[in-house]
Amino acid sequence: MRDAGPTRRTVLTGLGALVAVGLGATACTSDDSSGPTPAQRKADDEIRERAKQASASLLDRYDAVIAAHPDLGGRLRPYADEVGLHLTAFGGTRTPPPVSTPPGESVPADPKAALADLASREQRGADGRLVDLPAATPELARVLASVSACQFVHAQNLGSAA
Amino acid sequence: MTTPSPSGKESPVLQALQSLLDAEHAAVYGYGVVGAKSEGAAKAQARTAYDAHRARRDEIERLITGQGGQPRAAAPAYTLPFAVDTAADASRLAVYLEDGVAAHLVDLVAASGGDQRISAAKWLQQTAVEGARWRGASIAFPGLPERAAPGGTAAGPGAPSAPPAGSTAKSGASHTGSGQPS
Repeated sequence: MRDAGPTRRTVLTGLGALVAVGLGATACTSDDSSGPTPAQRKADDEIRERAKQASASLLDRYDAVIAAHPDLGGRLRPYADEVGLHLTAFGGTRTPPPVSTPPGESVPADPKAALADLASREQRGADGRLVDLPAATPELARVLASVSACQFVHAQNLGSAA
Repeated sequence: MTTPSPSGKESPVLQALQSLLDAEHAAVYGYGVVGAKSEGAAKAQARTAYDAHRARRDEIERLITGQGGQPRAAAPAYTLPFAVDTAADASRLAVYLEDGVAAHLVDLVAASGGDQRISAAKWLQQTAVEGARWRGASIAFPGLPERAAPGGTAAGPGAPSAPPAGSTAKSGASHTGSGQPS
């Protein structure tokens, strides 16, 4: 069924709100911004650095768990890849998996316990990004909120699998 | 006293809330369709999501009123972004709805500050969970269509290979964007 003219207009005023704004998401946020002050830029840098460190260490953890439990690899690799994208978004670069697990960070031998451990780390990450949210500039806040939401999904999914 | 601004123009936060309200109105409508075309567990899931979006719609209306704004009403009619005939179409529509709401929530995060920003981010978490449930996979950047990977990064084995609904509409819709009267 092909839409005639009037119906098409209905799209634009109705669900079109989803289409138009969902895709042009930055449209209404950059109107009157005169750019961040040096202090705001410094705050952003610190927040970004914290997020970068958190993503990097979480990624190391994924690598360690997958190394210890190869059977979980198919399940966990997509999540690890997404954390890798977060790391990149915060200005980090992904390094190859470490050969050995750092001392004091041993992976639980029980796969379910390993998943539960990852779930709680993801949850801490999701919470951590929210903590930094109020001090961030709007552009960085967008990314922080999105990454937090992704990690929240990871935590939920891993937690229900554990 | 309750005038939002001298010029009569709504503040950025109020604008973001109104846009989010538009999206929630559309989502409430859309989930009615999703529920009608779904079966079994998916039907129950659609019902739960419908209730959740209604509740959030009401809360956003309260927020808008509390900030001196006039909540925009739902559109009299909506046209779906694609034909919804099967249960698979219905799932795809649900993903479309959650993705759309997520993008508006990110806008609200950017436009607001303090507690309201945190609330918006927590709503985004819930929306992302719902979106991932319907999609059968998580995505790296919920609510950030500009960072969406074509084809997704973590598609589950059973996930359909079709691109997310939003991406197909991208080229056309970006030129019809709202709020740019010439």
